[in-house]
Formats: sequence, C-alpha cells, structure tokens
Amino acid sequence: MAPEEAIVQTVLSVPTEEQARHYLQDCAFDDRLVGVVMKASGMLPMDIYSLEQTLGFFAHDNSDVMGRPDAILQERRLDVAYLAPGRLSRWVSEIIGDHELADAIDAEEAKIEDPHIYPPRMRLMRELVVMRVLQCYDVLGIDPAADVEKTEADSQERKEQ
Amino acid sequence: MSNGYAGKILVIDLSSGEVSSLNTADYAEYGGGHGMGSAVFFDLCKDKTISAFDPANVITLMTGPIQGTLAPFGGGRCEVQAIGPQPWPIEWFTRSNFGGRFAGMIKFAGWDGIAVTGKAENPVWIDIRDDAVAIRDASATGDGLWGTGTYETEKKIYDLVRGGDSVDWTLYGTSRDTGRSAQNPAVVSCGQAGENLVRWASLIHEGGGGAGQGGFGAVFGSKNLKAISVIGTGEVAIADPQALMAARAWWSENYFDFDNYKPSLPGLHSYSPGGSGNIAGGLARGGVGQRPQGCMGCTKLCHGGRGATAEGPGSSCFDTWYQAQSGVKWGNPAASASNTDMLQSYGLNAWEGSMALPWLVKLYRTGILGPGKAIESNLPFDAVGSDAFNVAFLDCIVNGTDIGADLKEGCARAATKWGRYDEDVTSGDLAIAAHGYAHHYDARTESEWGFGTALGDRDINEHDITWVLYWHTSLAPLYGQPQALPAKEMVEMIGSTLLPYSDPMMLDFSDEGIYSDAMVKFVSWHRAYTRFWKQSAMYCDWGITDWLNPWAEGYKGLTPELEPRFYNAVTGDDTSFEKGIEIGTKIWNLDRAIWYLQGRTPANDQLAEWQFRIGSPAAHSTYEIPYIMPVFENGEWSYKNVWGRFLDHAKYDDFLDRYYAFEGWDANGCPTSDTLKKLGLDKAADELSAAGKI
Amino acid sequence: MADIDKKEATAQSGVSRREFITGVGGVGVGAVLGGALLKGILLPDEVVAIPASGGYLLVDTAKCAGCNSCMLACSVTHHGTVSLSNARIQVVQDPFVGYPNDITIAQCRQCPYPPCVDACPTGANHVDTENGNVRTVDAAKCIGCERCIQACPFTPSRALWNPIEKHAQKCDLCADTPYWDEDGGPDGKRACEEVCPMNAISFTAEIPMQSDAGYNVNLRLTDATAQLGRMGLGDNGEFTKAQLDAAAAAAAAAAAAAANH
Repeated sequence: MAPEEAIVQTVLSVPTEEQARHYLQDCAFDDRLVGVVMKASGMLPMDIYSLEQTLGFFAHDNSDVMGRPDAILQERRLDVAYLAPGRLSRWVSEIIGDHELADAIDAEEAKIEDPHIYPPRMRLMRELVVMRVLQCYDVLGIDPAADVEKTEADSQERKEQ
Repeated sequence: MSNGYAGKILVIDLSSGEVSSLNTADYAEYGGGHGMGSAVFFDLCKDKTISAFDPANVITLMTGPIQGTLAPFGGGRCEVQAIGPQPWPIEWFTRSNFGGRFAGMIKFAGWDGIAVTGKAENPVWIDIRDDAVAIRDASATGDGLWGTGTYETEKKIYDLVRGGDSVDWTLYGTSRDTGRSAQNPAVVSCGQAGENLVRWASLIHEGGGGAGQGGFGAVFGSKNLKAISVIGTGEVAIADPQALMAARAWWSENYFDFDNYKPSLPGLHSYSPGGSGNIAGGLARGGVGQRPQGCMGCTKLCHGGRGATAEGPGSSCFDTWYQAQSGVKWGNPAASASNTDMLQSYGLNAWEGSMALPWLVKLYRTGILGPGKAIESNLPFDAVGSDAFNVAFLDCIVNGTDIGADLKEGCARAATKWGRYDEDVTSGDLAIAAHGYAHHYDARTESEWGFGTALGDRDINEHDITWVLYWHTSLAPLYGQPQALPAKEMVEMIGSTLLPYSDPMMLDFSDEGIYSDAMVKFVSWHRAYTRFWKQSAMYCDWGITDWLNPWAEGYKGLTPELEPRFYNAVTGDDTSFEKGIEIGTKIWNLDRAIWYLQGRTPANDQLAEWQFRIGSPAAHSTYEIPYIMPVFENGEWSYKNVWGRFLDHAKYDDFLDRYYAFEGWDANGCPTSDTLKKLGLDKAADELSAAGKI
Repeated sequence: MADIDKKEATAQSGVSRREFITGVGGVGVGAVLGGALLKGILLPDEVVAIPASGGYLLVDTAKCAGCNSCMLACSVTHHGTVSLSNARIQVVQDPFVGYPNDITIAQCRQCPYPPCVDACPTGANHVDTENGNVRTVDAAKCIGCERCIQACPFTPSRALWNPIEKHAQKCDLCADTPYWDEDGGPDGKRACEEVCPMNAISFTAEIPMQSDAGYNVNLRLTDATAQLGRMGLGDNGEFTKAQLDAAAAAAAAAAAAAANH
C-alpha cells in the first residue's frame, strides 16, 4: 500500500525571524488548547501550549494507518487525536497569532466534503502545522533532529530572545 | 460443594500466624467472587469503621466457579476487596480485579479464595502449595523480597518455590501422591509503593496484571505482607464437561478467529483480535517480534503482549501512557516502556498518576507550585513530559519526598491539604469524578457510568455501554461509516437483554432521559448485572456484556445466553440470567449496607462539582469530542452528540431520591430493614440497626 | 521388554519389518526414513518394529499467547475436571524473559521409537493399534512404577503422574476422551487444537523431523496474523526481511513526504 501522500496544496510564506520566534512560543495556561486523544481505554485530554506541542498531540493519532500492512512495525493502533472543526484555526489565530496558518487550515478544511470524517482533516492540520514549524526551525537555525526532548527551559529561552 | 468450586476459603491471620479455613458452601448463595468477598468481609471484619491500615482490615482475593475453566474472558479473573485507602473522604470498602494465572492456580490448590487479616510483626510473604500454607520471612535478612519491586519479587519467588529448577516437574510434598507441577507459581505482590503506604498503590501479577485502583498494595504493605504465591496441583470438578466444550465451540463460531481476521465494527476496540492489549496499548517494546498474551482460559488475549526485551510484560492501556498528559512534548512512544516498567515495578495506580499530572502542571504554569512558591516543589517541571521528570515524579511519591509526601495520600487529600480542593474540582482542573477517583468515562454524557460511580465506592470501570453506545456510535461517523444499526433497532436489540425489564427506554441518554425513571431502572440493573455476572460469577469486563457482536447475524450479541451457559455447565446449577440479576441486587445491597456502617450519607452520592458546571472548559480549552449516544426525543430514536452538556443539581438530587425508592432504600439512601431481610441479608439489617443507621 | 511380549505384539499387530518400512498405517516411506533417528536403521527380523503414530501435535511457541486453554481442555475432556497438573500438554511461561523464550510448550512427540512404551513392564504404556498407533497408558494396567516418566527423554517428561487417579498418563491425541462429544484421536479431533485461540497447535500425520524444530514450527503464516498480533513471520518470531524492508520503505516515504513541505 502506498505511503500517505501530502494532501494540502497550500504553501505558507516563509516567516521572518521575529515571526518565527513568536509562532513557536508557549502560551499562558488560560490560553491553552485542549485536544482529546480518544484511546480505547478512555479519553485523554491534552493541554497544548504551542505549535510544537500540537505536533506532539497529533503524534498520538494513527487513525490513518488502519489496514496498512506496515502498521505492525509502527507499533501503533487505532487512536484518534481529536480537535473539533474550526478549533485549531481559531486558537492559532487568536492565541498564537499566526493568521496565515489559521486561514490556511480553514481553507483546506473547507475543501473536505464531510468535515465529520476525521482522518483527512487530521492529516491536513498536521501537514500545515509541520510545514510552519519546520519553516520556523529553518529560519531560526534550529536543527529539528538535535533535541528530541525539548524542555520548558528551551521554550522559555526562545521567548526571551 | 457443587462443581466449579474447590470447597474452602483460606483464612490467614498475620497477627497470630494462624491459618484456618471457611467452607465455601456457607457462602454459596453469592455465587463467588465479589459476593463471597463482601460476605466474608462482613463476617470477619467486626468493626466496619476501622481505617484501611488498621490490622483488623480484611483483604480478600476471591475466585468464582468459572475461574480456571474454559469460559472465555473469565477463566483468569481474581476479585480483590478490602477497606481501601484510596477512596475519599471515607475509605470505602472497595474492589479491584486482576487477571492472569492467579485465580485458576488458587482453585487448583484447593481454595476458592484467600482472606488475610492482622499484621505481621516483620515483612512476610505467603507461600501456598496446595494445602500447605507457610508464612515466610520476606525481609532483607530472610528471603530478600521486601524493598524490591514487583518484578524482582516475582522472579525471586519463582526460584524459591521451584528450588532452582524451572523446567521439570516439581514435587510439592514428600510422597508420590502429593502433587507435582511443571508450572511457575502464580504470584501477586505489592511494590515499594505499597510497602511505603502510598494510598494508590496497586497489586501486580506477572508484570501487567494489576488490581490497580483502591490502594490494595498499601493494604498489603500495612500488614507487612509483600506477596502471595500459589502453586496448585489439584483439580476442580466440572458438572458437565461436554456442555463446557460445546459452549466453547459455540463461542468460537460467534467470535473472531485469530488467523481468519474478520474486521470488527468501527470503535469496537475490545473486539479486535488480541483485544485491547494489541490496540490500546501501543507499547513500543524494543527488539523485534512480540506475542499477545492472555489470562487463563481466555480467548481475547488482551494482556498487552510480551516482547523480545521483556519490557512492559503484559502491560497495555493506561499503564503504558499514564504520563502522556504531563506534557504533549512527550509524543515519543519509545519512552513508554521504561516508564511502564517503573510504574508496575513500584506498584502504582496509573489512573491516579494520570490525573495528578495535568493538575500539577497547571499549578506550576500558573505560578502556584514550584521552587519558593506557595506549594514548594523542586521537581523538574521545566522538563515535564520527559523521562527524567517521570522518574523524579514517581520516585518522590514512592519515597514521600517533595510534593510526594502529600501526593502519596492521593490527589483529593493533597488538594485538601493545599487548600485547593474546592477551586480545582469546581474548575475541573483536578478532574476527580467522585470518591477522589479520576474522571474516566463521562458522567455528563454516559450517565450510567457517572451515576453508578457516585452511588458506589469507586470509578466503576464497567464498559458495557461504553463500547457500543459511545465508542462504536461515535467512531463510525468519524470514519464516514454508519452505525451498525439505526438507533431504534440498536436500543431494541440491547434493551431485550436487560432482563427482567427488557425496556429500550433504559437506553435513552437524552437530556431528559438521563434523569428519567427508565434510567433509574438501568442504573439499578447495571449495578446488579456487574455485581453478579462480572464480579462474582465472574466474567471479565473486557468480554461481557456482548451486546453488539460484529460477527453474529444482525450483530446480535451473545448476552444474555453466554453468561448462564458457561456458568451452569461448570456448576451444574440452573441459574438463569435473571436469577443472576437477583443475586447481584443482593450483593449490591450488602455492599451498600457496609458503606452505611462505614458512615455513608447521601452527600457521598454526589459527583464532583465541575460535572455540574461545565460542558467544556472555557476559552480555547475545547475538550470537545463526539460523544454520540442514542436519544429518544420528539417521539423517536436517533443518535445525537450529547457532548457539551453538564448535570443539574436539582435534577440529579431528584434522580437520587427516586433511585433510593426504587432500590427499597430509605430517604437517606440506606437499605431498609425490610429490603435487607427480603434479600436474606438479616445480619446486615441487624448490624445497621444496632449501629443506629436504620 | 520381555521376549514373550514382543511376540505377542507381533501377533497382534502383524507388523513385520517389511510392512513397517513400506508404510504401515499410511505413513510414507520417505517420512519414515527421513526421520533422523530412523535413517539407515535396519531391523533384525526378531525385533518388533513399533508402528509409527498416526499423528503428531505441532506447536508454535512464538505464536502461543500463554492462555493455558490447551491444558484446561486436555484435563476437561480426559477427566471431566480442570487442572494444570493433569494436562498432557504443558505450557510454561516466565513473563520476565524476552520473547520468544518466555513460553515453552511441552507436547508429547509420539516418538517413533517411544522410550516410555519400551520402559513399561506391564504394557500399560503401549501403542494403541486401534487408535492410530498413539502411544498411551492403559490405566488399568499401570502399577505406578513411573519408569515411563523417567524414560521420557524430554523435560518436563511428557508422561506424567496422576496422583488423584494414581496412574501414569500421557497425550493420546484425545483417542480416549470420555468427557467430550467429539471423536478424538489421530483420525478425529484434538481438544487442545480445537480450543487454542491463536491456532498455535496443529496436527500432522507425517512424522516430523525428530528435533525441536520438527515439533516447534512456524504457524504464523499470514500477513493478517502478523499484523494483528504484531508478530514476526520469521521462524523465531522475528520480523522477516520482507517485513522490515516494507516498514523501512514506508518510514522513508513518510519522511520524504514531510521533507517536501
């Protein structure tokens, strides 16, 4: 079976250094986004404070690997990292302040025939956030492979730069 | 005693060292498991107001007649009961349950259950080899078990019991006709968490089997009891072996075959071949290759699997990702094996830890907790989500250092001590559902879960409605598929199994339906069904009810045929499904009576406040998911997303009043003397009366 | 074995050297002579050849889920009780040992030359020619000397002592299962095989290679099995090269897709 193919056509414009720093920052507790990982043994609300953490949240989702023969070796089973329609874009716009990303998410979601069907919506959210985060890393000279366990201290440091 | 039973219940008094027994036949009316455990506790624990750590507390580990047999999802379960240190504010007489090989093994040893009371002067472990029961020295200078983790303890006990020969037949006894076994002993133990009286310490068996909630690990610890080990070389009679084999073949025809994969329905996770262990755990073990692993006699094999590096043996589910909520930076499943092993070896309840972490992170992020803050802590919250943080977190709880000194008492007690209970439980930042237990499935949507929890002693952890009328009905549309049946057909099919009522209205989860008289009936039915068929007979929660079966015609599940079929093949009884509900009602009332003797009042039947305040938290904290359930509105059935509503105090209190009346309880929620006597619970009636409760 | 017994056995079974080698009981010549133990054996005329069993249990220890259903079914069908010690197939597990060595399965091999039959002084442990030549114990003749248990070359011994009924017993491929409505034996069904939820026990009429690998075989034969059980298709439960290559290709493709953004 063919691996997952990119589904978004949008290309985000490259952010400035100042924008990149801004987009990667952590938000305050009351501004956090709460997603829910739906696992077979319960729902797991997750507090999301940044775009990077959004990817950490999405990492729990494997709803698109159903039926893939290599699923076994990815050690994953059916979990859904759920965000309701429109929620991510609103948070990205109002809290993270990345209006371009928010608009792109809305535009791509609008192309989906049935927004209640989750896997394609999950993929487009993930692809767009990955795109933006990698752009920010690139602009700021952060090596995405270098630090697997990013800490709060790193985020604080970036905030203060 | 009739078939399916060993005939005796082992009683051990660790204070005096006395080993004695009870006749199982004296408790026959309860069937087994929980019912017998409650009745044995009632008899052996004279003063029900004692605390969980009082030496007079009685902990029971009970089997039912189908344990050690070929009943699918049932053969391996063991029911644990005692006054538990975890429930709050009253240490309810509570329950937990674990699978694996222990239950079967104690029956083959000649025991239907074990009751332990008293407290040993020094650390001990109980070594059961058929009818030879020894209390051995577990201390560092003895067998060296105390102070070690559960994995280490089990491994050492294998060696001690088998005399170093782990392969051949071992003779237990001295004559030719004493038993032999080629098996390793079945061991259940507490870890350092239990030794150190962490109120949410668990009992662990074979790495991944656990009696997680309730704090039974600490009950062991309070008795200086490290472990119980059993070798059973005997046999238990089956009333109708041919019928048992035929029932097993019938089951196989109506369930999945591991090699001929038949897709399940969307969301029916527990029905995937290999069960939850292979689908919900996702534990990334090192090396290549692993196997599913199952409890004795079971066909679902959901015990989390075992891999080449022996990491996280048998662990799945919450045990493998309890720390996920501590920080979404941790999206790296490769970290979870060591975290799982640490949790299981220490013997800690994953649910309590999972509830604690997001709450603590909130306190840290809002400047309330940390170095020099109102709640002083030097835990590395700047690295929350990392393995380093997780190690520090678990260590501080087990050792009682830093905030661990308070957290080991459970979140409810810690929050109370910190003066944060009211605020954080009203906002939902500390997601307690009731009795200090973590939110699991949702009271606001799936009322039978929440209300059953509130009316009892703990988070019910009974997934009957959950799989079918939440997971399946919500996940199917997420994948663009219809539910297996339209709402009306679904509730009629399931409703027909709710004997003796058989009323589909019991499954109306609409805004009005959750407070209706029909829901009163359903909660009552569910309490009785689970008390008997799940916790006494006893079948595994992961297997029954079988309401929506992906492989049966019309998806019609095997409930209510399955439950009595295996039970009666084993016992030779003629216990109908409805009779089981009657026995369950009796057991539920006995438990309720014990709670009133412990000091229960209607205030204890409440749910934590946030469930009455919020559908989803404010601002950008969405916490929205599809929670699609059947509703009867405007004269017709449909599926509706009921997420976003919250409970109403007046309506809930009114529900409670009608529920009390339905059960034959007084206005204070206590079973009346009449009700108890009609159920044959005269002793309970007398004791409640003597205590001035009724 | 006393001479007189040998002659009686010969008269009963009518098996001569020639008939044995040319395929008594439907066992092909190649299978008989292919077995390592029997290769090149030329039997003198006065030595009775023991007819090969009509069936053998094969197991896959890398597929087994350790549920013990096989053991319970063995006890239920033979004795009408549940017991682990009475089971004529033993599954032993140690959860703290790495897969696939965490489980061992000890099934009787129905040895072509059965030491347990040879050791029995009364003929209790014998070849049941009416039931596909399974090696089994006639409890009525057992005097409890346990020589068969000592003689079994495998550990744990496949012949075992039943302390309740006080006789030796061993796997008879369910030839004598009074508590089961199905027909057992090499020509019928085997209870352990029927109840195994993993299909980790299978049956063959061909004599397996007389080695561990002959009786512990790879029954993980399909992608579906591998996918759902997260099991490797390799002989030792390891992932095969094909599986690893497929996973690597998928991972590379996913990484490439991500990098393209």
